[in-house]
Amino acid sequence: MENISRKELQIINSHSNWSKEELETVLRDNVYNDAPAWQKFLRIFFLGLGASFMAAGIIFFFAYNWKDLHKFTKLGMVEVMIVTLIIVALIFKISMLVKQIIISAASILTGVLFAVFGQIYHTGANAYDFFLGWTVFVALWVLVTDFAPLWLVFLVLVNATFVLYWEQVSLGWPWPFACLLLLLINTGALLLFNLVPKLTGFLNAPWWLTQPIALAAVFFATSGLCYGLFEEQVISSIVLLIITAVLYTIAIKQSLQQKHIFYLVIVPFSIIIIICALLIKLSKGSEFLIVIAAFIIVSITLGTRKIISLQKKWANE
Amino acid sequence: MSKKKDIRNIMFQLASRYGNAPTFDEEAIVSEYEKKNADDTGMLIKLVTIFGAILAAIALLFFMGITNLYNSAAALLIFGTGFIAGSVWLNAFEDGLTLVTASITGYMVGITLFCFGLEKMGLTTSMICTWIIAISITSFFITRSYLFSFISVILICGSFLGILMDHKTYDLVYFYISIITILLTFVFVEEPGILRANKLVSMRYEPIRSGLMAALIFGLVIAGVKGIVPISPDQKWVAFIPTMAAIIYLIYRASAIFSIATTGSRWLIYIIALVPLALTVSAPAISGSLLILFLSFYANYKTGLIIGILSLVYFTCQYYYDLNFTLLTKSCFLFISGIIFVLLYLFINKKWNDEKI
Repeated sequence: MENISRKELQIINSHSNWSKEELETVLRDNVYNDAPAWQKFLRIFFLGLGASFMAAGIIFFFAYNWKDLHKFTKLGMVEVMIVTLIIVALIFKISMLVKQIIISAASILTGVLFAVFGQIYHTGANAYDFFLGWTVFVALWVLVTDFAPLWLVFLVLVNATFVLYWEQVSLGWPWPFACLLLLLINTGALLLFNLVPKLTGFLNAPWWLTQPIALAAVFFATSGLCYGLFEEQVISSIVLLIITAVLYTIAIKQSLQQKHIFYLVIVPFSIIIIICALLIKLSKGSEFLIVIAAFIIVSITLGTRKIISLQKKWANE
Repeated sequence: MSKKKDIRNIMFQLASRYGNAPTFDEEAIVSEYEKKNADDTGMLIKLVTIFGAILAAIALLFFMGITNLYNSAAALLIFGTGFIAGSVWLNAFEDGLTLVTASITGYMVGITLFCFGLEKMGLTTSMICTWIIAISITSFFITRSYLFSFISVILICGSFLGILMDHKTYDLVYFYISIITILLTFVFVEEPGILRANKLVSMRYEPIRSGLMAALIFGLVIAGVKGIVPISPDQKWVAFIPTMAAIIYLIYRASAIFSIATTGSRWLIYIIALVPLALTVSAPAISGSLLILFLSFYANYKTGLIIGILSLVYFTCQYYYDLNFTLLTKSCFLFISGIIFVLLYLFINKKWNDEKI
């Protein structure tokens, strides 16, 4: 039987003579989750909660900074935990999902290990060093495990490392330049998740991994360009503008080819925000605000109508 | 395959699969289906529309600030009423996309100007909130747009919270959470009944569900995040009990899916559910998030599922951050809780694997 969505059932229901019980049966058979789905959900729910709480408990334990422990004991405990987790993942016959969760926990503990090291030896390392070390040392596990939540954590670490590098170490790099590099990093990740599965069957990234990365890329592009407009950082802003324009064009083309609306929504919205920033910059007084309000309303209305007409066209093809 | 043929095919499959030969008004269904498809916006576009409307409303309000409109209560009330009436009128006859951004902007600007006008006349916050409730209820029943109905539900619930804050009856927030919890559970679990009920309500089922969920999250934030309002921790059980009852009722409904016949097995499931719930008795925000998660999974509502997961992570982190114990004590609580969850996983995994054999 063809898949029936809730929306279709609601439409049919409003013009039918179904009783409440009949509609409940139809919803249960076609929309609501069945027993296998519940079993999978509850397994993931309890295992995920268990792993997260245990990892958090360990992190809190080390954050307590238990002064009585010798420094080698502190480091040794974390290292033993990491080694134990990896051995369990490699040797025992457990499901792939459990192995991936175990290696994710080991990746989090790597960060704990670096934090304890920094705390013991008062290395004076700024946060950038800590995040860089953590990122580098889990990179291989992330690649091998091919676990989407771990990829997300890894990319957050990469972005955090870079932002902290800009803040603490870079010699006065303008924010638009930093945003350009962050845009390229996140776009590179997106390219990886798009091309590698087609070539190797590896790195299958779900939408909840690729869309936050795309949102981060668009956020940095928008932020950098708006900042560059107001702080008048011309060279870096122009370079960022050119590269953003190229990437946005590619994103729109890909959306049109794949008949997917995500980039068709976030890219125009980013452009609207940038144009609003430009209008605010060019305006001489607050009277221009009504023009900005009108621009936002008209552009979103026109943009939304265009997207809906595209969706209608794709549905009929 | 055209959409017209698809929906007819679906109707044929439903009629042949389910006995009692239901009657369908085919032409009305096809016509409504084509219209809804034409105007289907999806959650992403709705979010962009709301965000854009908020930005435009802020710009308009700033512009009105420089025209000295805010100095006159009468002008504020006249313009506010005009914006509200115009926006509602635009959406009264259809729920399509035409001018939806403009009408939502106009509605938000109108509500803001109306509130400023009432405040300038010397009305208290509670009286202003009462006016907002009245306007929102009227707008809810007149307009047909999803976003308008959603905003109306948010304004009604938010105004009730506003009245509580104005009277400084902060502990009543727990009662607010209890009432919204019961309403939300009813809306999710009784979806078939609501959809077969009065057309005025069934047409607005989805914005009611989303609006109540957002209203519950607001309440949980106030109760769960320290420092927002001076709320007493002694009354947390007021919010916890309905949440626990709702989860147990949901388990009772879900047990039909597993075809659990024996009373012993049912009681075992209730005990398994009560173990994690018992850990949240002093954190109604966490049990509230769990309820949202389970309700959304029960009804296969993906947006609610994401909201449930995010709120569960946030409120759990917030709770443990705010706990007035040493880090060592907190780490013990967390580790022991983690072990309990892993044991529960092993137990249910073994039970279901044994059942397969």
